[in-house]
Amino acid sequence: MSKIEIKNLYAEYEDKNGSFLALKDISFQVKEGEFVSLIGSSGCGKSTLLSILQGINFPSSGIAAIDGNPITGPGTNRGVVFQHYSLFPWMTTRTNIAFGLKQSHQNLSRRQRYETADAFLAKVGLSGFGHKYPYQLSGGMQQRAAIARALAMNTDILLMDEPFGAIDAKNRTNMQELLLALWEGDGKSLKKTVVFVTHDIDEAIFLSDRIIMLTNSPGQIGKEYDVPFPRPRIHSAMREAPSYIHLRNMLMALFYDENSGKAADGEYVI
Amino acid sequence: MKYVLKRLLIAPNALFAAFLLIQLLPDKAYRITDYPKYTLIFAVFLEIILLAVSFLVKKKPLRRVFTDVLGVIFAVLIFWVLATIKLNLPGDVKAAVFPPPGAVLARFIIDFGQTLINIRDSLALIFQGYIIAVVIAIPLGLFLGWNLRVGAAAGYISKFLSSISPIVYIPYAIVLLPSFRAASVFVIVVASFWPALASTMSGVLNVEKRIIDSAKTLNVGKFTMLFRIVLPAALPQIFIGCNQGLSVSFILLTSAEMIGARSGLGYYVNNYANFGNYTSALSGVITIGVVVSVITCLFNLLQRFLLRWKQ
Ligand SMILES: Nc1ncnc2c1ncn2[C@@H]1O[C@H](COP(=O)(O)OP(=O)(O)OP(=O)(O)O)[C@@H](O)[C@H]1O
Ligand SMILES: [Mg+2]
Repeated sequence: MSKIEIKNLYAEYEDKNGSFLALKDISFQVKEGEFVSLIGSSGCGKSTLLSILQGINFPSSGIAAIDGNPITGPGTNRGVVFQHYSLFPWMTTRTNIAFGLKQSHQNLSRRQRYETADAFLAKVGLSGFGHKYPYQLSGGMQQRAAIARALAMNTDILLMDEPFGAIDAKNRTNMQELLLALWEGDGKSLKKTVVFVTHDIDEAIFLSDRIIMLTNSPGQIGKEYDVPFPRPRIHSAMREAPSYIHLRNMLMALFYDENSGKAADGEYVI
Repeated sequence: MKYVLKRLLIAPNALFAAFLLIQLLPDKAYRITDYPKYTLIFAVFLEIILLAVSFLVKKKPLRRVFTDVLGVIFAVLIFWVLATIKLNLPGDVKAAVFPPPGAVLARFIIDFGQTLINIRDSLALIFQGYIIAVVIAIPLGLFLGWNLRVGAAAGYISKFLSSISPIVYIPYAIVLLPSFRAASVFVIVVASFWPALASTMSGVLNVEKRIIDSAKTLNVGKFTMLFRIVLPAALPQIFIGCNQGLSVSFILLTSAEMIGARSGLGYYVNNYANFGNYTSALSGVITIGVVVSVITCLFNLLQRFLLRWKQ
């Protein structure tokens, strides 16, 4: 059975002059332990789709199900990173993470929560910033703390909306490797199921088992690609491989074709 | 040397010098009892504080606040002495309504023991009323604001009710409540309740959607959502209303203490004003001013602490 199943899904937003169709007839499945990236140009409905999986928006028709059960609301089986920074401004970064842990792991003691929080802050390169409030951090640092909160919760499913968008190239590579390491786990237990939104084709290829491309407004499924490269993946080695370059060029061509004429805001505008 | 000069050459010191100079002018009001020595001692005392602050307080903004406040006090003293004793602007007939600063200071010192009791009783009254109001208004505002549909109706009703001055309720409060004291507290409760409720409700309605969504995805329960997410997120707005409520409470203190109180700052002022003793009344008014300033200052410190997460 697939972990996540989306079938004939439509999503509409209500506004003053009627309703706006954001997603049209979306169907796809994500297997348990699979890493899937969603790509598509700005405004094509990626965040909308993710918010439905998060349980804070609902389809106007069609099905969105996890483990075979239609999604009725949020749950702590899903770790979420929003496109915008989603830390609580009145909590320090470590309290933010500890608060997430309190929600997902009710049996942890206060001390264990804070120890885990500090450990994850270190993993995302923010040790020493635990006692800072979000306003004292840069955008990229806030986003890393938000990622740390989602990762620390150690959920079966991760739903990430352009999590690395605001992060510089060096930290970005680190974060990608950290995410893959946590996703693969210790090799004994089941891998996490990840749905990952990005504008960055290289990032999508490096991380994913499969890439789903959404076409523009209203969002529809364009094409799907399996990403066949063996794991563990190494950035430098992959980039040289002819098959990588081939896949990348194909995706690029499609991506730009999709946005015919509007290419520039497709890939780089976040 | 340059440093010392820089700290000395500030307007408040010039005002103090001006104050000393005007003492040399001849008095024009003979019939009024004044105690110029008290004014002088008071001014010198303030100048000592001013000098101490100028050299001991390191942080510039804080030092500026202190020195500016003292400067304003000197300016007021100068104007006051000139207008009463030196120029006798009100004229001999109306002079009783405008006592000079020395007389007020002398009265303040004589009544000091009573003033302490008044401060204690008034603060007890205000805090009791204020805390009851806030403890009811904030959770109620959270609940109403969060449950939008009830909230919309409640918004209009509270607009209507809050436009009625709490003084209107006084006769009803006296009839319905068990004691005069309870009626006094009630006035303060009503005065601070509406601003606290209204600001909490609007604070809740203005919480950013992304913060609520972020909390939802962490699957928080209703209680956690209200008290650990919505409450802190709305806190900056809530403080605005609570600040207003505090001011209104002090404004209505006199009315509240008119109901059967036998002590308190409002009672004191009102009582002496009724008897035409404006020296005492003025001393009381100034005391209220000082108490309000100190309370406001403490309240701002609390606000700064609780909102330390905002830039
Ligand atoms: N709350 C809303 N109300 C009305 N329309 C909305 C709302 N949120 C999004 N939309 C519309 O739905 C469409 C899809 O938006 P969405 O945020 O899902 O795009 P996206 O693919 O995530 O874009 P980006 O890459 O820029 O983040 C857009 O056309 C947008 O205008
Ligand atoms: Mg988006």
